[in-house]
Amino acid sequence: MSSTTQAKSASPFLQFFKQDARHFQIVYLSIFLIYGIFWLGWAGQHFESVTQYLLIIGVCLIAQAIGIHFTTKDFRGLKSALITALGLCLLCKANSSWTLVLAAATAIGGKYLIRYKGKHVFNPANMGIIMAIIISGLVNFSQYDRFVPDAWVSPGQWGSDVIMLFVLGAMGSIVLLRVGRLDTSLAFIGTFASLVILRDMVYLGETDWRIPFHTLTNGSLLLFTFFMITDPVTTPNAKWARIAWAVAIAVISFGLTIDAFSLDVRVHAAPIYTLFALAPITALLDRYFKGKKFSWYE
Amino acid sequence: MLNGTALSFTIQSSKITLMRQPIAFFLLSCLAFAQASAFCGFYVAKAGAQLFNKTSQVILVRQGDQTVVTMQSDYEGELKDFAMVVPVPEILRRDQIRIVESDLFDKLDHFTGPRLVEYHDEHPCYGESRFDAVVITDQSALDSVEGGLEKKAKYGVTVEAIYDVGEYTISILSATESNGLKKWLTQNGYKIPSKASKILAPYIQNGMKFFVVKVNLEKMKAADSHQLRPIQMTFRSEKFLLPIRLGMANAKADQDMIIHAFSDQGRVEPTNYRNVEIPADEEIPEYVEERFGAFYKSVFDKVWEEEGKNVVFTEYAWDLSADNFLKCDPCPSEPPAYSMLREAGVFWLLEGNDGPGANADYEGNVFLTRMHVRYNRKTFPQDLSFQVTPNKDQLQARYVIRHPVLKDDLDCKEGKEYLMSLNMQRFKALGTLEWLTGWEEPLVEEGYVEEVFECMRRNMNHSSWHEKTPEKDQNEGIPFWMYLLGAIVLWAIFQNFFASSWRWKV
Repeated sequence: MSSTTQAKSASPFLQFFKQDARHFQIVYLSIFLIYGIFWLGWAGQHFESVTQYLLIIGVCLIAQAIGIHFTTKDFRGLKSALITALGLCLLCKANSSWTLVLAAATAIGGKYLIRYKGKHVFNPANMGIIMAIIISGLVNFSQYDRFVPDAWVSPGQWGSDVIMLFVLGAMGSIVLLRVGRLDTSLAFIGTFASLVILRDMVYLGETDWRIPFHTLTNGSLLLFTFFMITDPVTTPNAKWARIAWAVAIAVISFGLTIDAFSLDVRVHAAPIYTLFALAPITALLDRYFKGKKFSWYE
Repeated sequence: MLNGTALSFTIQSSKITLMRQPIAFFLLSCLAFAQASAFCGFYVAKAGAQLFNKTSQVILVRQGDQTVVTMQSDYEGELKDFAMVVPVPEILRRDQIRIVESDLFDKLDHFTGPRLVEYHDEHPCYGESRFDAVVITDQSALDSVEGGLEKKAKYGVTVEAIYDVGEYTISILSATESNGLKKWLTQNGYKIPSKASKILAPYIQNGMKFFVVKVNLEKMKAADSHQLRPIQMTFRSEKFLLPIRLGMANAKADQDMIIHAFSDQGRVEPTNYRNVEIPADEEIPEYVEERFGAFYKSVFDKVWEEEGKNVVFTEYAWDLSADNFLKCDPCPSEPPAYSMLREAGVFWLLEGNDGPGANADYEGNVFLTRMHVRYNRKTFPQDLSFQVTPNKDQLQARYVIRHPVLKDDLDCKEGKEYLMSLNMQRFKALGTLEWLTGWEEPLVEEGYVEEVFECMRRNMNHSSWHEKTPEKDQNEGIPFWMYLLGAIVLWAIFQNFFASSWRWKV
């Protein structure tokens, strides 16, 4: 038996690794997190908040294990929970550890509780961030007499380096090519970038290209583009529906940041809100535009 | 040559100020807090904003969509040539503009700036400790006085309002076209940097108004004043921005800016630039005390270089809420009182408890963040944008020195151990100094390491030093086999009661 498998492939590990696109995703997101902790100093001088990351990962895995136990009993699904957890670590910050537990629990809980035709409706990490913001904001209402959430998205932890565009873009593309969702990313970032460039260079009459570029190379925005909006399970199945959906998210996100509406929504956070708001439309699009339902195991 | 508040461009060249290194020796006020004193150490020196050339300071206060901005100019030229232009989101009314006391910034800078703390080691054998004290040195000055503003409306520029506020004449302009605004300003005696109109255009397109300040020379003469006090404006805007681009229009050199930001939730952080905490809470060699200013400057230079020069540094973050007992640790000066916070624009605070047992003479939540930006046109293409976060993690740029006990009477076992550990600690502190400052030869003071050896040699003849350390008590703690037994019992319980229902299906 051993001789046949050895002849078939030199590295069984590599073969196993290539089976599932989520393996790539886990590796890349972990690299970003480690880079953030050690090079960008996210965990503070003395790594105090590393425990917060471990907490998010722990809660996500446990919640998913419970979910799996009562549903499919297929524990390969834990990989998805790990991706969600890493996504939350990279995007969501909170003052209190309880808010992080809430984010992690609602992220996974939403997956099992809010479903339509065998697909969960909301992107789990997105759902976690939004629910943490909304619920903690409501809880804090009595203390501040206004909506003051305990969770926030911190684009300041990433900075805006052009190199980030290449690294996040390239790594994201590898994953997306395997999953077949690169179209979503490109449609989103293409539309969003065109709008930002049009506003800055044409409407406002800036002369320096670095100004729109600085906005577009923000780490949080790129992470959203290549690792959040592309989740194959929560995007429409049909290709053109998917592209239209991504364009809609880009247009609405951009609209939220326009001065005229005077909403205090930052460029980096707007897509996260918009994705949440437009998630239910996915179900609608799936109904009218038939496409093959995505499965991780093919 | 550009100078002045970062938000603006001020006109006229200025001499580059020589670097001042105010070093203040201060008796620690946090000794008053009984609980805190154990951790306090003594505050000995600071490295404030005056350390850096061309440093402007700004106070930002933000709650909801209400923003209060206070700017201090570091302008040092002829007063008649002083002018600054700041983009603002709306036409400000007279009651939205105030002049505040000029020592406000010094007080804040002093309170939040990088600090050096000293600890006196106790005598390892007797536990006695000694305190040193107390001199204050600090000085800041501003030049003085003359100018005027002509009221006109052409080139698409409308003078929406003119106010006399203190020593200033302030005009609020709206413009339809950047070249027009540039011409208008030039005609009215402002020397506008050649690149300014390019930068003005996007602000005009965005519907921003322009807050134009000149010195009212007659008033200054009448009041016999020579100071340009900080200007404070209050307005509502969803955007939480600090326009820095005008200030960079003609400047090639790097400019430093200190931002003191108040919120009622937690830290204020930049959203469009990376935010990094300054490395702090490290033990450094004793002799750095004399050159603490130069030390901190090197620390900042090094970390600024390493992080890519396009980063906003957080130097201080502290919860000053009325119910937070520990207002600072240690305190370089008295924690801000109600009057000072109100002066800074913290409008939501209520005057309150000043009785015994009260932590503060105000009621409400305040969180103070100090950020330090060194920017130039190349590395900071966009204006600074901020957000208030609920992040209450506290931080201070605090460095620690230890005064050792190097005496001849260390006649005890602990004395020997003390000198050994002191030796290690000094090597470590030297390493830290080199790591923090990047000083190639970390300026080792003559005999800094040797004096510990010297002290060891002097104490060698003590009998206690040659005593054999007694054998470790064998009966201490739980023996190893108990752990093992416990583990086996737990495993047995688990096997019997839970294991059957606990099976992973993978």
